[in-house]
Amino acid sequence: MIRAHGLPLAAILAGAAALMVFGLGSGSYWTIVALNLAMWIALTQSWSLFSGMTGYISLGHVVAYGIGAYVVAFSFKIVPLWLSIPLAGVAAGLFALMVALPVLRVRGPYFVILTFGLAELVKYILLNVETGLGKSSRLLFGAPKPDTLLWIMVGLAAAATVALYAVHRSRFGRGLDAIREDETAAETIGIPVVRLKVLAYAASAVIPGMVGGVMALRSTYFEVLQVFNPTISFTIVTIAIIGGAGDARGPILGALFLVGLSEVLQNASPQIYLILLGLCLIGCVLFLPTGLVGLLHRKGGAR
Amino acid sequence: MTLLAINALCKNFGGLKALSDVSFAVERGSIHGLMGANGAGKTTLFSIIAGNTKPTSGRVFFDGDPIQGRRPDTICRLGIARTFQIVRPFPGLSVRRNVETAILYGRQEHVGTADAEREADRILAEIGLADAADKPASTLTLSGRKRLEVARALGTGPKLLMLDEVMAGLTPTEVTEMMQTIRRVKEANDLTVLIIEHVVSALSDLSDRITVLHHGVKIAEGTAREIAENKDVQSAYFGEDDDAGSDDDV
Repeated sequence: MIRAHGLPLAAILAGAAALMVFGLGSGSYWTIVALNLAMWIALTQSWSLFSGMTGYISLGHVVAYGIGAYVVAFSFKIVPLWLSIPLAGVAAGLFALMVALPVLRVRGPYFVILTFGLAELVKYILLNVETGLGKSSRLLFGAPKPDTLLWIMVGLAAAATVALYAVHRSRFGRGLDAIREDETAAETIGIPVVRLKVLAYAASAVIPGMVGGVMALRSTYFEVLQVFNPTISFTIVTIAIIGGAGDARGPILGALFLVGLSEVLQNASPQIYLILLGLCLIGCVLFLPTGLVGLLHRKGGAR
Repeated sequence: MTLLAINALCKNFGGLKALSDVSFAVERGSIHGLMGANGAGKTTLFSIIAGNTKPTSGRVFFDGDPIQGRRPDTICRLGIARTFQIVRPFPGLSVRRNVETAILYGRQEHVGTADAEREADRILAEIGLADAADKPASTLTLSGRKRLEVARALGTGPKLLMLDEVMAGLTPTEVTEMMQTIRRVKEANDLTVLIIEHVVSALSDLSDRITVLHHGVKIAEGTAREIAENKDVQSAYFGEDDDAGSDDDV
């Protein structure tokens, strides 16, 4: 149980929200930083809803992001944005639902590799489709300003956080916890493991789909290789490991840390940024398996 | 009245016949023992009844309905709960949460989370684990884990409780306590019990009837006394010769 030990979720949320509001009021640089922060929070909370809860580590979450970006870019100026962004989420969720049964038949490292490969597969299929359509890239002229997109992204980050928080407390979440701990024992005490895994997998793709759509608008440019960049999947997992995927606070802490580090160092010295990030990742895996959020309740035993 | 009927059950693993043509019936309200050396097919039989393994042929009737080949979670909600010989608690969850999860998912009727927590505490008190409720399951001793297996099985609200060697590895005192616990929860919850046990004295003491398996074949069935006097059982356990050495398990 996540009884109020240490820093409560509300305080972390307030901090992140303050940063984003600051981003809205203070010109383009901070707007972009805040947009990035909200994006990583939304993506990692969604990832955590499936991978954090069930222990099936997805290394291909970019597939939802890419599909969402494609839906918004493809329908740009045809379908209004208030409709195309939710559609991006629906498309990503439906795709996940479609592939869930075969994908979820494997566990452990096989699952990790399979999700990675699946994202690459979809990338190259869409690349061929786009080439066939004679479009190497799409320019999205007249996309909303970053200020507007930031609001949408903050909304998505908040929705993903609330969703994860709610799942943690629900019967559904208890079932996913049991699946992570021991799948055979879980089904033996009456948990419909396949149904729960499929639902969680599909649900965890919806918000990333919308995030991908918003980010396509943000760059006013769509190219398959860019939106299916595997680095996005890796970064999600990095944030989850550094922040901790045990509850809804972890991804926020991880995103704050990563975006902060990247803003301070990435332009000044990208090599040092990557070295530091690598060291932090190794350090967390070795010494802080529950991530930064684990520091908040070091003594907290079982959930 | 028969609660569980096993009908000509066979299970092959490749060329190995783990179970061949096994049939027996478990009476409602009884404690039915399953006996046999390692590899006799006892745990395979449990796995088939609980739906963890599919039989090669044969049928399993529960409350008159065929259940063989159905999913484990479905069978659990019908009212069959099993424990695992090699215990499988949810190690990172608290003892209470282990039982709570079984209550939330294992029953036919819907239980709210608050009610589930109360019910879990009641079961933990009944099984003698109340003091450990808030600890992670991974911190329990072997005896504690075996009790948690039973508590979690009870959480699913079963009619039939299948216990797979819940006394193996326990000290004599712990065995006595576990036997008392089994009798108590059986009476209190109006259960039928199917029990695998290597501690033969405990099994004879508890069971109304005993079925003996040997290399996947049923070789005897009867009361504890009948089984003790059965020639086939004696030869299976002690060999044909009068001066053969004794078996560790007996």
